[in-house]
Amino acid sequence: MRKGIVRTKWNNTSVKNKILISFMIPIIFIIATNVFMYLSTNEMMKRVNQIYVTNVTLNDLSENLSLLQGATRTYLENKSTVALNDYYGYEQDYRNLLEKLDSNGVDNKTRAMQENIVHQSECYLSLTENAITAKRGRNIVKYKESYERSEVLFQDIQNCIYSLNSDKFRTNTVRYGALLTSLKQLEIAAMIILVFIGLVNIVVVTFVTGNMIKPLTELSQAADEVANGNFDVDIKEYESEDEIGVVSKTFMQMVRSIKQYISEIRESMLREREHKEHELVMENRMKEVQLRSLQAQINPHFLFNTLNAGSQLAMMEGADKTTEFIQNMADFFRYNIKKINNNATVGEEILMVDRYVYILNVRFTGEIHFSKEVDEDILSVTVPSMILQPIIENAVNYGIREIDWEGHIDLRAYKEGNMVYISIKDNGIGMSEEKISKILSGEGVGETSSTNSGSNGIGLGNVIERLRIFTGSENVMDIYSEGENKGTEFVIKIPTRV
Amino acid sequence: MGEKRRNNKTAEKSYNYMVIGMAVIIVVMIITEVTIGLFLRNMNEPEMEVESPYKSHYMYIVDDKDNEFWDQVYKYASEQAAVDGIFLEDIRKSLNLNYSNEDLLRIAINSSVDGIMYAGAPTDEAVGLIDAAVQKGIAVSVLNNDIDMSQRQCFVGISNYELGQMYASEISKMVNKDELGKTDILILASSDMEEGATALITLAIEDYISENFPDESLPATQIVRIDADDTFSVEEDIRKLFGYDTDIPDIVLCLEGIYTQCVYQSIVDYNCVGECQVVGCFANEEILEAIDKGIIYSTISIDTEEMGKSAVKAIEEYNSMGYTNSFVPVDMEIINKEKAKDLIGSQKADDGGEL
Repeated sequence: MRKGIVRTKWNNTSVKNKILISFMIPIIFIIATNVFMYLSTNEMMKRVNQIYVTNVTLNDLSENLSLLQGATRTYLENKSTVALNDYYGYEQDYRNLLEKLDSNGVDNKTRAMQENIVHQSECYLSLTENAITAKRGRNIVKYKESYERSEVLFQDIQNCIYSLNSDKFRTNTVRYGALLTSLKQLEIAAMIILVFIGLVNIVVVTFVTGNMIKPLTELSQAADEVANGNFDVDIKEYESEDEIGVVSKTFMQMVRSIKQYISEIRESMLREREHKEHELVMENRMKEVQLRSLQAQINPHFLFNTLNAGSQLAMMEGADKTTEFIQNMADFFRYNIKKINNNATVGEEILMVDRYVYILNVRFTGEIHFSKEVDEDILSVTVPSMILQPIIENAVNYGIREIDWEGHIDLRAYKEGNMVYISIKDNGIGMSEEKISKILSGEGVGETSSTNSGSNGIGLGNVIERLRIFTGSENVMDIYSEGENKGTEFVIKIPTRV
Repeated sequence: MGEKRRNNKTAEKSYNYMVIGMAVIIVVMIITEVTIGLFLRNMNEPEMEVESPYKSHYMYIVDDKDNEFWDQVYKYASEQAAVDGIFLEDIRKSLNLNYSNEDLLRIAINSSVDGIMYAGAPTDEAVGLIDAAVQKGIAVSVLNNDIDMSQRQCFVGISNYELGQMYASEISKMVNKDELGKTDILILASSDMEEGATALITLAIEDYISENFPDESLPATQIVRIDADDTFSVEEDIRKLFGYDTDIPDIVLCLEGIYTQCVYQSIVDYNCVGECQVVGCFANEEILEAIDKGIIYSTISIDTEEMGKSAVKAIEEYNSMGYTNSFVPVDMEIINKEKAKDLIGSQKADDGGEL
């Protein structure tokens, strides 16, 4: 748990602090190692210095003994107060120095020699004291004897000190040599340890910084690829909350946003292109309709003017039926010219069908029985112009013209939901499934053409195509036929709002 | 999910490297500190051979001649002393200056030691110092040559009469009984040796021959005193006995080890092998090899171990009980050719072991 907290803290630490920690901790370790080595070496140096302390003590002892002997002799020679004071001073010093001879931690040979020195010194001090006392009492024989004996003891003690000193010096020198060797070994060990710790530090710092820089390297490579147009880069998500982690996450977010933006633009452009393609197709179809209309335009204009003249003539002659016929003809062609480039309403289209059927019945002496059933609500619904007349024309020409029985054409316009349905049903020779499929797929476009006599030049294919462009849907017309001689029904489906 | 975990691991790597690296450094530092700490503590180990403090302090004072013999005695005496918690100080070797035995006795007295093992000439000064030591409460044990006029507590050594008997037995082996009367025997004795002691040896030789060969005449014995005061006079004095213009004795009896070695060397140098038979004293490697080669007939070896240990025990006994035997005899052993061969063999087997 604690480990996790520390790790999280580490991950959330800034790069600057991480680098600082990565460098500071190894440096602290190296400093600590150096301090430890320094203290160890210092300890060793103290020991080296301690080695010859015993020799120094023995030298002091020997020197003090000489001074004591000199003071004794001087006092015995001149009985001076100064010499006496010196004697007491040196005697005390000598006793103090004797107490410093530590018998702990030494070998028996040294201990024995130290004991010899101490015991002889006690004898010696006793003799010198006797000599001093005898001198004060002016007992010449006694102080001379005591001094002579002290002189012998002085030599013996000095020799013992000298021998012990030499012996200690010999052993101390061996120790000194051993310590120096150890010191050198310690130095070598210190160097090896420092080098080792230094190497470990280098490895750690290399790995830590390398690992910190790694996301940056990946990020730079990813940025390079993005700059070259490849937005499908995949860099590992850096969990850390430091600057690199933030930059990494932000970069990835930016790349994702750019990708999304590009995708949206691409989609929009695609839609626009499709729209333009639709517009172009529509325009193309309209131009086709216009072209065919223009091809047939001379006749309608000529006929329209001629028919107007004929209508006036018939009116003047009192021929009402002729007038009505000519008037319907004139309206039919007027509508044809007027609406060729515009949309119309369902009502206008049905009116156009009424005029067309009237003309045909005049022409075919009332053979076409036309009936209509229209929902008044849909009369104002906008539809492409000239969509019902070609179907009526098709029903007449290919449905009921050649039949032996009475031909009927029924028109029904109604609304279901949001859809307007206009059904034109005949009881003619019917239509095969194959033919129906051809018409709906556009292959049967040529069945009604401008070359065909009595046609206004607009075929079923054109009607279907225009309806599809107008509604934006493929399903704009259904054709039903139950078989040969069982008639055909065309059902146009237009949404009420396009 | 797996990719995410891998990414997390990658993100944690720097932390892990840091932790592992620091752990390695800390472990290395701890090991270093412990190692150096132990190193510093054990550095004084050679010097830390602290011996347990002794309860008594004896001083060993012997002549600086015939070191090999006295070194052996000191070795065994020290062993015994160490067992009893006593430190036996060889003061002559401890002091770097050349002191006389009497000087060393004085130092021992002034040092208030608990006991003195002494071997030296029975000079008046030595007698006086031994008496002074005894009066100061220091037990004195005299080795090898007795100083019976002093107040020493104990003498540890050989019986000179017994020594003479052993020499005589060796003489009887070397010489045909018919020729005993014609044999010249030279006895090499130290000038320090009391007249009585040499006379006792001569008497023992004569007694042995008289007892064992009652019909034969006694050999002619001559005692030659070797100056003990002059360090280098031993070899010179002995060499003179084997000069080209001198009559070489039939048998030489050496009462000290150093005399045995000098006689052996002179016989070899003057090509007297076979002319002069030698019965030595003490047994070291050189003397044993000479016996093995037949240059020296035999040697009488004093038991140095018994001498050393007995001397220590005598002082200890006196210090604890207030009395001890005034004479502790030490065994002697005749080492002839066969014995010498065995000793050399066992010595080689022991790879330099003591004889």
